[in-house]
Amino acid sequence: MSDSTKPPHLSDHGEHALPDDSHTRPTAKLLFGWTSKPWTGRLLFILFAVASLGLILVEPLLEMAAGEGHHFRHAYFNIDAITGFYAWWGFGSFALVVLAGWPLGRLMRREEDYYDDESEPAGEEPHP
Amino acid sequence: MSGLLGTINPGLVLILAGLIAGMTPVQRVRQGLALAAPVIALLMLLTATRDTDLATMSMMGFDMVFYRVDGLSFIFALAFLIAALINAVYALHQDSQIEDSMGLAYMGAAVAACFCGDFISLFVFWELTAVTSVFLIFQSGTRAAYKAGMRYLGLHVLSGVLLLFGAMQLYFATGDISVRQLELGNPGVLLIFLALGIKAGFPFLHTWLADAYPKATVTGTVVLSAFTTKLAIYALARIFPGETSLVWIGAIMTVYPVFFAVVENDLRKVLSFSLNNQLGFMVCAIGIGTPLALNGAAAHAFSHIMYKSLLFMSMGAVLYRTGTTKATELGGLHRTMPWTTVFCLIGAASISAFPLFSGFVSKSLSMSAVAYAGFVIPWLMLLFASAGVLEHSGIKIPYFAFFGHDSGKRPKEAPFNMLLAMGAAAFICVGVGLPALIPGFGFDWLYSILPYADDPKTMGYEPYTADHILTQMQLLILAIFAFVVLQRIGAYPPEKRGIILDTDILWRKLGYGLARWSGSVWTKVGPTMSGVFGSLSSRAFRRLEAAFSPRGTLARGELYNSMAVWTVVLLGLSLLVAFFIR
Repeated sequence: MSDSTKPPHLSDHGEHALPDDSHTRPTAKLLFGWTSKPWTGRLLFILFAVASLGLILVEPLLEMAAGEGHHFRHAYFNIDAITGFYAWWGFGSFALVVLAGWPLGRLMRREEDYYDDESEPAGEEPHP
Repeated sequence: MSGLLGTINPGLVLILAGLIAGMTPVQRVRQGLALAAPVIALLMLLTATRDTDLATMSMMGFDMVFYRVDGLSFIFALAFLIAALINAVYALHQDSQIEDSMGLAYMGAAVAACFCGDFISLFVFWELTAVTSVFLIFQSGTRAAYKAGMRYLGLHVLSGVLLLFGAMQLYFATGDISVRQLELGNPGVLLIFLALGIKAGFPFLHTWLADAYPKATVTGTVVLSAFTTKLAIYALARIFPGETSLVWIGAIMTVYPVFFAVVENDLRKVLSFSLNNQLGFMVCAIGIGTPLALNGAAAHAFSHIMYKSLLFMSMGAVLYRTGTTKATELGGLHRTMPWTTVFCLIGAASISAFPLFSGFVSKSLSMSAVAYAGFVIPWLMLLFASAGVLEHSGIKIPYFAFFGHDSGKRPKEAPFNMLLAMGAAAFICVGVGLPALIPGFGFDWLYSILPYADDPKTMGYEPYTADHILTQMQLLILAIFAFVVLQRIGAYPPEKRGIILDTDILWRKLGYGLARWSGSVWTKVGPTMSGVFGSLSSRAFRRLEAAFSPRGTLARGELYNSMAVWTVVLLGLSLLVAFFIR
């Protein structure tokens, strides 16, 4: 079990066979049908990029609109008074956590039967 | 409410219902009991007189208070009883006498413990939650569940014993057995602190949580997730408000489970780590100890019980239909389980604290309280953990179960009763999070039942300011953007089969290993020792091994026929002995 295998989503960008949708329920098609389209990934990327940029840029604008002597943001400390602090902190924290998953997985992941008693499934028969 | 009825602790109603359910083979009767008991208990709670000792007793010189309602116990008991009702609906499809009865008794014990005004009755219900809940883990019927259940029971019985010893120590030092605010210093108080720490999942005492919860039954995990740890949070808020070390303990508790959760494959285990992380927010707020902070902890506990149940219910539905919650074997389930997906997403949005959901209005109270108190590093840690929560509960859970790589599994939608229960929990998650368009609506309702609702800082607290919405959205949207980017460039670590080591390796590998090694040394050395003692003791060891080892008498046959029952009986007996000898 090495960590260098290709993640599944990279080998399937939608250019391969699309998932079988013959059992998909109408409600599911209506609500989430868009999630399995080939363009979903790119669309989400663009949407979130625009939203992120907008959320950061709107802050100095609102700060200016608040007028002389007033502040739109009410910072608790010095550090969170930086423009877009929450945005940087959120992006950085998330990236750190996810990227830490690579070395941590290597360091702490063991075979499922490592403890002798863990090899069994959760113990629930499926009720399909 | 006056008269005899007004002096009965509502938790006892559930415990009684559990007792009757244990003797009732008819499923319909047990369902009726499970649904009726929380409703009756809720009515009793809502009509109870506040801030007076409603039931007291003097025994062996101890002044015991069995039933006392105040602002703090009210909101916890209210959340427990609502959760009990939702759990009853969620479990309607199953026919298990022992699970119904133990579940009811467990929930009742947690409710009853909230109203105890003295340490002895608190101890009784504290232990009752442990010995009843363990059956929800055993009921899975696997060897892994059984062993995890025993580890769970061991730690929780230890927690109870520490609580009792601490309380006795304190009693002999001060002559007062009442549950009250204490300060660390007296060794007895330290024992109580440790006892609460085990149940609240403090760092290094936390392993039972992620070990046992994912191995319980479909409904068992949902029941477990609401009560034990929140009872500990209640007790911490009651006994140690303003204990500064809790700020740091809580902040650390929010951070490390995030890293465990990102590499974990079993989604119910991911939720258990997430539960541990959420407890950290509450513990941190209790450490601040201002009325605003304690309100924050209570509000967070209330909404947490709802959204965490919701998430566990959705994963329970997945487990029920597919037989697994491993991320490697799931994906694409939204096609046939759309409603479960919707409810799971509502739970995910609530725990991630999106505006309009319950986490947004409850977590911000604690966050602001920590900031007002000037703890900049813990505050940054909590903010880091907020992005971490979004990673494991907000994205990982729904993404890997319902979207992501298609597993080819096409199970049926969850049973109707499960959908109904999830819908009820989702309703509360959204209802509590809405802006107070009219007084008493949305978050205003939640704020009005907080323990210090008349605190001026809480009364003037407005979560829906443009500033707060913008900063929260910056945090969340940029974090999701990080996910999208990492996913597209292939830097998101793929899910893999395997288990993740935790500090419990100390006793699960080294501890067992040491015991085995000393056993083999003993059998070799024992007989060679001259005289009767040597041969006698080695024979005693062999007898013990014959009885207690995994190959021994007690482990033979049905797993929990003999060994589990005997262990519970033995532990219970030793507790009684310990209690009366002292």
